[in-house]
Amino acid sequence: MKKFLLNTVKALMLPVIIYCVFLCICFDRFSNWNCVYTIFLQSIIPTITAYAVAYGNICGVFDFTVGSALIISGAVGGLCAAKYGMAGLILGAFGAGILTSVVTGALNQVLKIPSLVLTMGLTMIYEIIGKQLAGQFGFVQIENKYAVLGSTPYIIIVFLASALLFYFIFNHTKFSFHMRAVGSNELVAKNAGIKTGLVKFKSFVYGGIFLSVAAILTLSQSGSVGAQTGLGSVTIVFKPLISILLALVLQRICNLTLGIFISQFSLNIIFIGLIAAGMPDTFQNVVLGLFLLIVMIFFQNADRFRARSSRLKAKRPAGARG
Amino acid sequence: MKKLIALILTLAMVACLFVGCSDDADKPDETGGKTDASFTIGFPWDTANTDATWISIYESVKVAVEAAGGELITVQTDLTADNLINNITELISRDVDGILFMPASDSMLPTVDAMCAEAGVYWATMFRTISDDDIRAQIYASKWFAGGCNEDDEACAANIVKKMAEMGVENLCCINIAKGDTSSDLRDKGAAKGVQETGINLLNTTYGITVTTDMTKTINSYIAAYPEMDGILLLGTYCPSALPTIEKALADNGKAGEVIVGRIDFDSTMGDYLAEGSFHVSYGGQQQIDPLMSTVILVNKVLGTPINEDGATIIITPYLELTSADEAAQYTEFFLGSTPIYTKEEISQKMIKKNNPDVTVDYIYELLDAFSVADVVARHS
Repeated sequence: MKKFLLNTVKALMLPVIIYCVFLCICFDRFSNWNCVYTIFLQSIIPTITAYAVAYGNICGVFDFTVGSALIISGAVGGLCAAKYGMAGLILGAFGAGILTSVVTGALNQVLKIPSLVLTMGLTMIYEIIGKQLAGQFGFVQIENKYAVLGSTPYIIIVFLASALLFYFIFNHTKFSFHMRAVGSNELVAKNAGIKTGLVKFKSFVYGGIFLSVAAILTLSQSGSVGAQTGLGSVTIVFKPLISILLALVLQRICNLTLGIFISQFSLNIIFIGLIAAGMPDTFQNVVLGLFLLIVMIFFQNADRFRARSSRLKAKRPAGARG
Repeated sequence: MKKLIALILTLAMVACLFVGCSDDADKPDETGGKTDASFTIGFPWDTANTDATWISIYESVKVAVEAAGGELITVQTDLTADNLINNITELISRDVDGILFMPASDSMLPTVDAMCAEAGVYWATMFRTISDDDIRAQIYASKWFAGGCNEDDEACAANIVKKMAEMGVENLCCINIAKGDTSSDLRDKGAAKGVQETGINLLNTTYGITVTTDMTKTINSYIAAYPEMDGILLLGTYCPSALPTIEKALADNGKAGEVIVGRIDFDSTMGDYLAEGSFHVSYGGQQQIDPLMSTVILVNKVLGTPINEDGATIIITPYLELTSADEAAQYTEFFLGSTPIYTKEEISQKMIKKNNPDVTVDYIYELLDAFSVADVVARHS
């Protein structure tokens, strides 16, 4: 328990340090709770989107369809909301989100082609379906009375429920162990009797649940969901994917569920921090890329650094140690 | 059995081949089959985009080509420079007589001109000016460049900033298309000029937002980082549903109506927000007139009756100002509706030089001076 708490504190140091850096740069703009609260709220949807991508990522599956499936889910939810109200919004989004995930998962299992190629192709098809659903003006809008889930406290409740569900599936189910085994070495997992195809299929379907939640929250928070073409929907997955990469690195000291949120929170501190510091947009991308590289290099090479430091200590003559 | 199936499949493929080459394929369609049209115009455009404005741009080009007795051949593009050059190569190989496109950068134009000169194809541009002096001189001297329309993006951005300053804005945040785009850069320049002239603070500009989640995030970040912000200016964006997303984010933060919101380029959602008082000013209307006039310039050149006998025809199309819900409703109905801003008959009679020898650059400017939302309503209601 002590170790768990210590590790969690260590992981939380990442956003704290970044926040302190920006606090030094622009104290006046950054030293208010509203800023922290905004960063927290902005981290929710990308975190849930990252949960949708995470299972597949751990299985070794590349899924580019998440963004386009999110658009389809949101568009169907929005259209159903116009006819059936709040129930239509939720059921429509879940129905469409899970259906697209099932289709993607089934095709991945049946066609046996690399997931990278398959999901790239499917993304283009889903984008066109999203376009058709979005209609004449290219987006689906909902009435404000159906957008309550995008505001507090509901968005926080939905987030906590999603995090708990993700934590449970990731830590306390047979699927989670199979998923890790497949991700580590598919051939060995297959020889051990794990149905690797089924595990991958499940990773798409479970991802579909979080994708649908993210779609509902996106629709509720923005009030609309817009269609994308020309692989524009991949943008939606890009930043959540960075947070997964960071969380996988942080996994040594904290659980993936919390790690993804911490990573996303840290990325958003950088985003708002650079805006507050008046930095140009292009600079933000540079800093985000650098941040990803620095964290990855630091954590991935921590053992090497430690070993090198020990070697240097051992080499020092006794007199030098005093 | 296998041989029989293979034979049947082969026959089916051959039958499909004949069907594809049958008379029906010659029917005019979006991708363009040969017809009895006197000429063909190639047009790379994002035809998959269902946004009403994008559709109206396509319709404006199509009606102008058909008014002159031609046929429009479109190819799908993502409007990037590399892709546009590929599109133009494809259109030249399809033997078009003229090509109209929206350039992604100045640097692609000499390549396009060389390709078109070699193939003997006239070309024209829409929406974009040529900022680079050397490239402009080279292109304007080309006999294959028919000309084109553009807007004074810089002046427009400066004017809308001044207008927002008049409305009481003191601390402004902007959103714009990705840097490097000719229009985006000019609008940035114009906004900076407006800021300098009015003395207001430009707090930040965010570029290249394409999805609603990023738009929400940016507005929330502006509100969190700049509590003093009292104006948001959308200089340009390719994000669908941009304005509703901004308005929702402002409303969620209790800032709707409190923050002055303006945008360049009209859209179909402005009316409701203008009526609610949470959206304040928009400059636009060029999205339909610019491509229409650019096409008119090109088709007249292709028909051998150029508007400007002495070289390229360059027209600066005006921005219209829109500040009321009624105007917004009229804009949606008459600019984005099923009838283009000028009908085929109007274009044919007024703008095609072989039908109307009075067509000159000055004559086109006279038409543009009279062009407004009210003018289109009066002609088509």
